[in-house]
Amino acid sequence: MMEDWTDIIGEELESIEEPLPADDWSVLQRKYAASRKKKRAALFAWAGGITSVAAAIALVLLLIRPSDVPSNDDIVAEQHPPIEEVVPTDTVSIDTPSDTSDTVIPKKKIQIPASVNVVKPSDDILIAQDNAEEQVPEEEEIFEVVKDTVSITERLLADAGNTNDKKEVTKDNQTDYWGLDDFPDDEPKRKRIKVSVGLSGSASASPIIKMYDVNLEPPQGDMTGPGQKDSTEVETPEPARALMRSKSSYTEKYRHEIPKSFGVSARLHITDRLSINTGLNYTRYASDRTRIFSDYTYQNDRQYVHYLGIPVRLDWMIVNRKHFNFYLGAGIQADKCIYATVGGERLHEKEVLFGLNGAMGLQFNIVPMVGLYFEPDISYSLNEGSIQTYRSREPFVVTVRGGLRFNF
Amino acid sequence: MAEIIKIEDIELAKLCARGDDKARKELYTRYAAYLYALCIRYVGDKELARDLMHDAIIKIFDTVGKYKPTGSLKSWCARVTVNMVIDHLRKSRRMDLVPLEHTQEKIPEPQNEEVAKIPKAELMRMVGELPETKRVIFNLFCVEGYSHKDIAQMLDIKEKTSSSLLFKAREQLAKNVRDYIRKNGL
Repeated sequence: MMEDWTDIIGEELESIEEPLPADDWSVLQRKYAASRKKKRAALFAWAGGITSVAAAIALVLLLIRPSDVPSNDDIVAEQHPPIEEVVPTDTVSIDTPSDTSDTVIPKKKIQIPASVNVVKPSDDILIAQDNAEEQVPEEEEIFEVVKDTVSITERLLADAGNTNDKKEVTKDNQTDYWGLDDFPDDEPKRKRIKVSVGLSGSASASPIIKMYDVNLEPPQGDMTGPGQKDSTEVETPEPARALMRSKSSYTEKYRHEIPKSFGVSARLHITDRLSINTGLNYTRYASDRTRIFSDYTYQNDRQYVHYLGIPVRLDWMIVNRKHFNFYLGAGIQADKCIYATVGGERLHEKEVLFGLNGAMGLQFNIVPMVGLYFEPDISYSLNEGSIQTYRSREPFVVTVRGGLRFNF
Repeated sequence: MAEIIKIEDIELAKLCARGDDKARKELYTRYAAYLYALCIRYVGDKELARDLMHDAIIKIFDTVGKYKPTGSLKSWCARVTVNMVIDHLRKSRRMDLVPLEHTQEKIPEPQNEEVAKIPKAELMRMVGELPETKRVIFNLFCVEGYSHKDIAQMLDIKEKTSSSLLFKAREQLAKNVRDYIRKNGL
């Protein structure tokens, strides 16, 4: 088949190789390292997202699941089968002390159904597993036994079900044979959702803090102070010579101030001790940037970077008292730059910054609804972003948060 | 390094997939200059071409485990790079993918012998001077050997659009080639 003239061009072009700059491999290596870092950060973000979703699903499942404590009707039905079924094949014997009931029963071993939920026996109830000794002699005695069983059940329930408030159940067995009076019908069967909303402010510092990361002593002439917003260029005493020098190359030095942050947070209580903490945090990073040119002139600019962050943290309550709480937490935070300027010029940061954080909190409940909290936390930045801030210099940052928390 | 230079494509691909830095350097040494030239053919601009070549090699490093030895590793790398370049051009909306009417005017096409005498660098320049869309379709069809059906799928256009754009590219390139031949007395 005869070749077309474009086929000849195609064959020629197909074999062409273009020489690359000598440093191309090292440039590629740097890009590859940056790309892997970005992927790792994305992976952490996904992991954080999946953890949050999993936590949310766990929370929903926990909330829709019926309570572990059976309802009163269930307990009564379970504890009081028909009389003829009182003697089951598998029994647990309980040695009742004489003072646990005001019924006149001789101190002896009795039988109760094995279905009695023996969660936490009190000291005066001895459990023995000797099935051989027990016999049920008389029908009358069975009634007494059942009555006493109700009393024991109530005590067990008092121990098992009311561990939080440790209230003693006092029961007069004579008043109600089935003991139904002791169980209010409107007792909730599901756990209540408890939510806390907090307002916080914070200040950060690095455990390996270096506020001035370089020596900013000017090589010559005056230097504008760090608080000055306008860009100022100071020339050497030889302006004519200085102008002739190249300003194409320069080094940048930063002096970062302690970031300031405030935010709102919401805490969703999964259990009495476990809760998810999330919210919205605003952080402002302020820095002084100094550009030192090759001709020893320098330029000072004020840099402001504003971030909005969403933390997701799992908290575990260590001490949970009426007026005092102490908790530990761990989680992840995503921060997005919303506005940044240096010397009045806009900076753009597309990258979302991720960090891991661990916190330790103390909360003083002034009134049941309102608590004052202090929360030192340590965070580790997973990625730096393109704008130089306090955070990019020091990956580990300790932040002390303080605020008010409203409990609902 | 001596052992790596001798190894076959499939072994090199496996080593790269395992994260062997020497193997990655060898893959780069073998194909980077070719992929760079390929990118220049498509985008014209050398800086952009270098960036795209780097992106393509990073993607190759990450996905080289998927390489099957049905064709050469070089062709596979070229395919990854072409896809990356096309993706970039589509995202940057630089391609004007509207079908063109065939003109009545017939431009005389150059002879094969005349074209063969033109240096490669000049051919590269002439192709580089084509408008973006025509250059991409010329490269895909005449250099990489894709069919109009493949090109239509890659660029999300009709086959007819692809063929009409190729026709226009040929016309313009023929004019450039004839001008060069006339100027240089080939």
